[in-house]
Order: sequence, then structure tokens, then C-alpha cells
Amino acid sequence: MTPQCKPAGLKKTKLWEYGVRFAFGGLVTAGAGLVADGYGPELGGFMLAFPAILPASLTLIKQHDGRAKAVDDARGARLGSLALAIFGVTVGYSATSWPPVAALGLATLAWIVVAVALWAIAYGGGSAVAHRLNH
Amino acid sequence: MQRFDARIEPLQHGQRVLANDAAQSWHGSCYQPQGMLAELGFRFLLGGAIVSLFAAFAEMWDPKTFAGLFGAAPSVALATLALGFYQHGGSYVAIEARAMVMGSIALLAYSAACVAIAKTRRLPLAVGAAAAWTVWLVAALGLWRLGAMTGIL
Repeated sequence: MTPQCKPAGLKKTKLWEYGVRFAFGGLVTAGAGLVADGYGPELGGFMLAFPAILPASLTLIKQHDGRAKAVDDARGARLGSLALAIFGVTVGYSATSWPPVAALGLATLAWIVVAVALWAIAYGGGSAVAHRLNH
Repeated sequence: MQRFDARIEPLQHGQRVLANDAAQSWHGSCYQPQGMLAELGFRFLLGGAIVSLFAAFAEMWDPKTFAGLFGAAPSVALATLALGFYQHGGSYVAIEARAMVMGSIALLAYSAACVAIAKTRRLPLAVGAAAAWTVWLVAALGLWRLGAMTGIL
């Protein structure tokens, strides 16, 4: 199985649905700042992994494509969250010695590479791993 | 729980400041209410834009197992850490990133809960996904305590 980019998929989503995601993402980001302000960066850091996109995505995918596709979306997010840990590790090691753009750029690249690699292992080749993850 | 090490950390532009100082300036009186509101507004706009961008990008991909990867994209993290670099420097950002690694384990628990909830036809998905935030919260608080006890955080 190979991932396919279909820009037409953007048309399924209504403008107000993008608005909901914008508002929610903005609130979570502002909330993360408040938590870090009030309780320090240790607790504020946890907020950086708050599920900001997933709840709205699941709900919208269920409405547009059905429940089975929403299950698949949540399965993908499981792998994405593992890759997010690699993003954090990369920033943790590079933040004090690299320029901000380089540190965040490298971490984002690491997230993409790890997420895609995990997806390829889990779902790319109809492997035994994919069979286990799908049941 | 705040535990800042009073050590000297190298910053990006050749500066050297106490890691404690960055945190104290943030909690200090230099942030006036008006400045704080403006900052929150900026965080809202930046976070909203990045989250929307990742969400729109996810819409374009098929199959949904692949699109779902973007449900755990570092959207809030990019906005917050970029501002963290600007306001507090690399040492502060490194602390946030370490905590974020543990937070991503809580996100894994949340995603796993969402898989189970999405399979349960009797439960409205919107309600279930919102209720699953408690899974994230419990996991995050547990990991935070664990991190504090073991000295990881």
C-alpha cells in the first residue's frame, strides 16, 4: 500500500470545520503557555503533546467517510504519537546548542521520517504487524 | 512542581545566563497584563494557524491510517517551542521538550483509547473522543509524577 496525495480531499471539509480546528488549536496553544507560566516548563511541556487535532479529525472523518475510516485515523495517530516522542528527544538534545530554526527544523524532519517509517512497517506491506494492529 | 537547576547554560547568540533567571523573569513583574494578553492572542493565532495547516494537510492523504499520523503532529509544540526559544532561550525549551517526550506517551494512550472508542458503535464518537481526554490527563499526571520522582524532569 502506498500513500496517495489527493488535494480534492480538502473540498470535503467545510469552512466552519476549519474554523473549529483553528479555534481549538489556538486555545490549546494559549493554554500551554498559561500552564508553563503558572506551573513551569516541566508541566507546560506535557501540554505540547495534548491531543489538539485528533478529536475534531475523528469526528469529521466519521461524518464524511464513516466510522471504519475514523478507526483507521486513530490507528495512524498511535504511530504519530511515537514519532512525536522522537521530535521531543531531538529538541531536547539540540535546543541548547543549535539555532532555534535548525533545532525545530531537524526535529520536524525527524518526526516525519520516523512517522512515515513506522507507517511503512505497520501498514505499508500488508505485514504481520499490520494484521496485528488492525485487529 | 518547579525545579530549575541554577547552572550556567550556553545560549544561541553567545549569551550566558542562569537557567533560573529565565524562569524568574517569566514569573516576574516584567510581564504586564496588557503584554500578557497580547502574547496570549499571538499564541492563539500562531497555534491555530499551525494546527489548521497540519489538519488540512492530513485531509489530502489516503489511506486514513497515513492521514492519522498528522493527528499527532507537533503542531502545538512548534508554536510553543518557537516562542519559548524567543522568550526564554534553549535551556527552557530543552526542559519543555523532555516533558513533551513523556506527554507523547500520554498521547499514545489517548490514541489507543480513541481506536477502542471508534470501534464502539453505541458511543457517539465526538462524546467518546472528548471523554478520552481524561485518559490523556490521567496518563500525563501519572507520568509527570513518575518523572519528578525519578529525576527525569
